[in-house]
Amino acid sequence: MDYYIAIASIIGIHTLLGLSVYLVAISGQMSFGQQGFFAIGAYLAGMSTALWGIGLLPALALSAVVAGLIGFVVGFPALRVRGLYLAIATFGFGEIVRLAFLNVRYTRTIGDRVVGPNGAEGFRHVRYVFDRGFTGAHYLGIILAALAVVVVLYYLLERSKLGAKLRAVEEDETAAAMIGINVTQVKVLAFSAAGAVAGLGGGLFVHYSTYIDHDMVALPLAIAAVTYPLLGGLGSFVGPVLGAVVLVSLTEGLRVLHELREFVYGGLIILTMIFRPRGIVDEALVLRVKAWFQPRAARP
Amino acid sequence: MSDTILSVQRLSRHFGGLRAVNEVSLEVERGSIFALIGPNGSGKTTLFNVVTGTMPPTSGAVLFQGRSITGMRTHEIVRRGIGRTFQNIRLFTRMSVFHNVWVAMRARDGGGSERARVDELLELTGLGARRDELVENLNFGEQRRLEMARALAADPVLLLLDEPAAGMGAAELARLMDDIRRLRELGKTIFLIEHTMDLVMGVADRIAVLNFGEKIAEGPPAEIQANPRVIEAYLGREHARA
Repeated sequence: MDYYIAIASIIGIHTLLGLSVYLVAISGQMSFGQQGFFAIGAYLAGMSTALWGIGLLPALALSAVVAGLIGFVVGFPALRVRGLYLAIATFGFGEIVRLAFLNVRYTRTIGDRVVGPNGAEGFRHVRYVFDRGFTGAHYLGIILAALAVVVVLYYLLERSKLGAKLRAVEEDETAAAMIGINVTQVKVLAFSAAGAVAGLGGGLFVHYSTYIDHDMVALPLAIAAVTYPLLGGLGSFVGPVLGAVVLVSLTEGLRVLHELREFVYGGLIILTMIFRPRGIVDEALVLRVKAWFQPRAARP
Repeated sequence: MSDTILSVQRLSRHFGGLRAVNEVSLEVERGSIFALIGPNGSGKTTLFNVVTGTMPPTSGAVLFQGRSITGMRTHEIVRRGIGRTFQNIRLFTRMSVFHNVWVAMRARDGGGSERARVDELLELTGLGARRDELVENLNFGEQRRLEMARALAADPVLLLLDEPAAGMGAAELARLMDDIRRLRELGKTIFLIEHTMDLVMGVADRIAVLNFGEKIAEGPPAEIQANPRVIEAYLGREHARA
């Protein structure tokens, strides 16, 4: 049972990371740097509860807000580059964050534990949740509640005016500007909000694992984060959720295959790119599903 | 007493040593149909790009309804009442026909979200029956009409059409000419770039001719047709003498 709770927790956290990449993607930008915001959220939330004695919820809120603000700052230079260059620039940002945490030492000895970011040793003993007698199942509830809030916000966003603007900017910036959309504003907003979502994911993660180090927020996490929306689909927020569920479950379920697992994983992504370039939940599917729910209006 | 809606004043746009648009001045009168013609590469689309803020001018000024819009960003210019279609159709291809116009309607500042108004625009442009189709299922003429419907969603007073007749057959062309006249009756001012002379001579009140980035002539259609400099630019010196 604990095993499934652990997998569900990881799925919940990785879904937030996937949703973060997705939000940037639907503003027409591809980011390989969302793990940087995830790391900022993780370290900050960890320090908040373990060193500063702040409660879990304010710590999560703080990590989301700060990661969002940093997303805002990173959003502006990101406007100047696109495509592959943007992918590299954002990955560069992720690496800067990672290397910063590799070097940051900010520890205190509490009891017989050395707590706080400790360079290459990582940040141990973020035990706020489990010291208070919460079980894994309780904490899974917290993760899912946070995810539910984010998912509802995404649902509302996609029905909103801003959601429509994001899609227009993603398709064609020049045409979007020509219907009166402030493209800069829309893209920076997307980057900020996406930063906050990844930061929240990081904050939840560090309290789940009680530990974070620079190696956990390196390239493999960046790739995982990007594959969730890519496989799941860019037509709706359902895409990255589906992608995270499928891919994380697959990673676990295929452990019996040992190294072959990577082939299955890679093959699946290549097949998606060939047969469904916009992922499983693409725009065409979204249109079709919407049509089922709409009463067929009588038209001449 | 003429009422100028758009005034382009000694406008230049250079790309390195290339003078794509050089010291061009022109005035578009409110409620008129103004055509900009000229051989390929004469700077027509560049002029549109500068007027709509897609790129800044090298020098010169653009006044819209008496106020300078020089160097403003595109969305600000659009919100002041200028709409535009593109030569190389730029629709939102992953959206339905309806959504292409709907998103433009919603993008307006404090914009109304009346779905009925979208349907009205689709009817006006003859796309009512295609409303739920994906853009890729539309033919060329329909795509151009959809671009027009999308540009009209923001309710512009000045509409810039970049080669609206490109690739159209005779029947579609006739329809387009009707559409353009109808828009004028609805109170829009039309500023268009076109190569199809049947359309230009058929609908334009006034024509300006660009050649190598410079304005070489301006006047009513009959005058332009007889202008030797224009004939020379299009057909070469031989024909101009004949």
